[in-house]
Amino acid sequence: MALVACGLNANGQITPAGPPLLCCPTPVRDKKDVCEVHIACSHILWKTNAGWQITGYRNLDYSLEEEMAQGWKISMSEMRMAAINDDGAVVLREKGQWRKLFFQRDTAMDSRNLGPSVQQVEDQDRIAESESNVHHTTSQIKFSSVFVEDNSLIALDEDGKMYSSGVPLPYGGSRISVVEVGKEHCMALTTDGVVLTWGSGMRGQLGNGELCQIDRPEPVESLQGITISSIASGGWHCVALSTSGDAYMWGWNESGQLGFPAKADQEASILGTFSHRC
Amino acid sequence: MCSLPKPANIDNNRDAEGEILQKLAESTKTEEPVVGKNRAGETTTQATLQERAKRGRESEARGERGLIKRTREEEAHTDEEDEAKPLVLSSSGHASSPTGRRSREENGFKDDEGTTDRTRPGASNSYPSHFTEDMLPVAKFCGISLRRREAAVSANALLDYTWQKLNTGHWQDVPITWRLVFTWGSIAVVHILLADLQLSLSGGANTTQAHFSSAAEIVRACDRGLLMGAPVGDNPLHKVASLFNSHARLSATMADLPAEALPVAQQDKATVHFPLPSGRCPPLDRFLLNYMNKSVPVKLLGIVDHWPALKMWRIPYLRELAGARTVPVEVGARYTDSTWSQTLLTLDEYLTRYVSQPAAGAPTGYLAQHQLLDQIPELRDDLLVPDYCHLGEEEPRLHAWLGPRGTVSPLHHDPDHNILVQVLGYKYIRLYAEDQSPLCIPPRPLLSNTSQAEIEGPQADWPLLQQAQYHDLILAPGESLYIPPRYWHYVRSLSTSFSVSFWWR
Repeated sequence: MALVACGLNANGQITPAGPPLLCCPTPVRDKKDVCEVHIACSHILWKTNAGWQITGYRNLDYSLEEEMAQGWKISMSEMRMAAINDDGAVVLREKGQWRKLFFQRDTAMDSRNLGPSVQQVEDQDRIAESESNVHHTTSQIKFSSVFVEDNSLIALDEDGKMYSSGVPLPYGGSRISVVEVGKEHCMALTTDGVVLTWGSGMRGQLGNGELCQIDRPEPVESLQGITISSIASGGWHCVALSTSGDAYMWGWNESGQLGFPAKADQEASILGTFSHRC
Repeated sequence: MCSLPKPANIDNNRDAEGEILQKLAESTKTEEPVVGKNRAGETTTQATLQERAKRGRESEARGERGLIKRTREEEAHTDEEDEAKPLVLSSSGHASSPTGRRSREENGFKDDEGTTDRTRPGASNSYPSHFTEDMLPVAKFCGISLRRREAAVSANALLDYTWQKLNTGHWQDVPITWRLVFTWGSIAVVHILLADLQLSLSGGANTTQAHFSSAAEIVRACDRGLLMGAPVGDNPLHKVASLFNSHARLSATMADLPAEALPVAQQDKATVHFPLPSGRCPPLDRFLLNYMNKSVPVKLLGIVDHWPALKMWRIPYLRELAGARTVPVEVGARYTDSTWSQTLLTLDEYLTRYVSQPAAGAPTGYLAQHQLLDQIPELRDDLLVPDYCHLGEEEPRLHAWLGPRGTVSPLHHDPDHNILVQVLGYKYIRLYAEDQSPLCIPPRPLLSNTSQAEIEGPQADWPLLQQAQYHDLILAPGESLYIPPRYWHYVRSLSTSFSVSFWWR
């Protein structure tokens, strides 16, 4: 099995000493037995049989990989990394450490905006700690996966329930199997194959025909009756793949990301400046 | 393995623009011009070329010094973990959307101040801005490198990364620092494109057509940086864009439209029912006391008789000056419609597709509320800000309104004083006073400063409106209108029209 990569290499994230742009798929030979890869703009996280490794821009965080165990489930964005550790808890990399995030099962507090500020998380730490002191038992929520973007974090527990800002999301429907996070919106897929969207809809990324913002997950009505098997989200657009092999896309198309012609097609690309030999 | 060819060392590019322009001029003369093109640029003398190139070099040099200084400071900062490093900038950094129409409601009409305005003495507010943690990776994209190819990749990567930040959330919430980064990144990209073009011209391998395409790419990159970047003084992007406009235009095929050279007559009809009183050059104190202080609109005659723009602003002139420049266009009958949208076009494309030769049944396109005079400072030279506009506390802001017949600005009001000067063509305007507001606004408005009433629509649909008192008028070239703050106004163009508005408070 061979590993190939292409794209921006300005921070040496693909090949340390290579050119800043790899315009064709290039074999990556210096890593053995890679089984998982996570990509951000300026760095890449690799998982090999020997452990985790980060290449590219590091932002002064050098001990990160040593503290990660093989079994962790990772989610990574340009500025943040979160994981489910071996105990099923959500941990977030902040200021050179892995911090455990606390969640509670009920919505005693109103769910606020979907991106937890550090202050909110710290507040909940204090509340959770004080509660556990009083009751001496906190039924630990076991999480199965976590999904991050620079300003959002959604955690999914083993029962398929979503949490954000430490509390469950206001959604009482079927179990969720996977979540995708964009720059300003979120998508989720239930085990029944229903797609939910919520967040800002200014570029049509909610797929509901409007440009407003919604605070709680709502099913995408146009996909009613179609069973979706997988979803993916870009910064401001969404893709849903049905069980019959049809792909549905919605959201922003300014660069042609939905597969329709776009104005940006006419602009000369950076590759026009280069000639290359492959 | 795929790799890029070994780059040559980057030379001092101070003479780049001069050489490039000379070579482009030479190649234009020796080759057959493509059929149907305008003759822009071919009659420029050597002396003019050199003069332009000298000015281009100077502004490039200023821009470069700013960029290099900025990058050294950033590299010094990457080793520290501080988040807030205040920068003092000599620009007033209000944020608004690139085409501010929608933001009427959102941000109470704050606008970017102009950049190279010579009529405004030192209008700069110090504006603190801060580095935040998510800007640190950007420093790694910024390495000024001797290897030009790598610099090109890094500069474009910087623009892509920054572009994502500029598109997240509301435009007016985007920190000014990200917009500054976009400006500097654009300057770097344009610099690299210039160097590439210079190399290509010396090598002689590419065709003239390819060189024109490169010039168009350079102008596009400048405009992108101007549109999304922050307003900064002495921005070299202006100079480079105007230097290469004429060659950039040659990269697109365009038929000449001789009708554009004819004078513009009033084509559509409009009846004036309640004419607004007019005044010819009222003295400043009369204007302040009788009109501004009393919120009374007035049609002003003779206040711009001396403007060169009245004689010069015709469609062919605009094409020659700025045909290849990117401008934002509003497409759709009015901005309250659900099908209304904004798009970016070159001025040549806009004038052909929406002004001179609109397709039957196509939606209207309006170059509205755009700071065209900041984007193309040469147009500023054709006019003088009326003295009345300086009677407020802040410097006046200029916007250009260029469009075909039939553009409509729905009934709305603005928070500032406004003098609207008609330069080319004719407009019908209706005015309702602020106390008529209850009759103008429907029960649940979408935008608090815009009425959905169709002013010239069926009267039965808007019964309340028929009871409201109004004034109306037709503005002809050389005539102006003073609109007080919060005064409702409705505007429809009766011909191809070019107006300039001055907002002040």
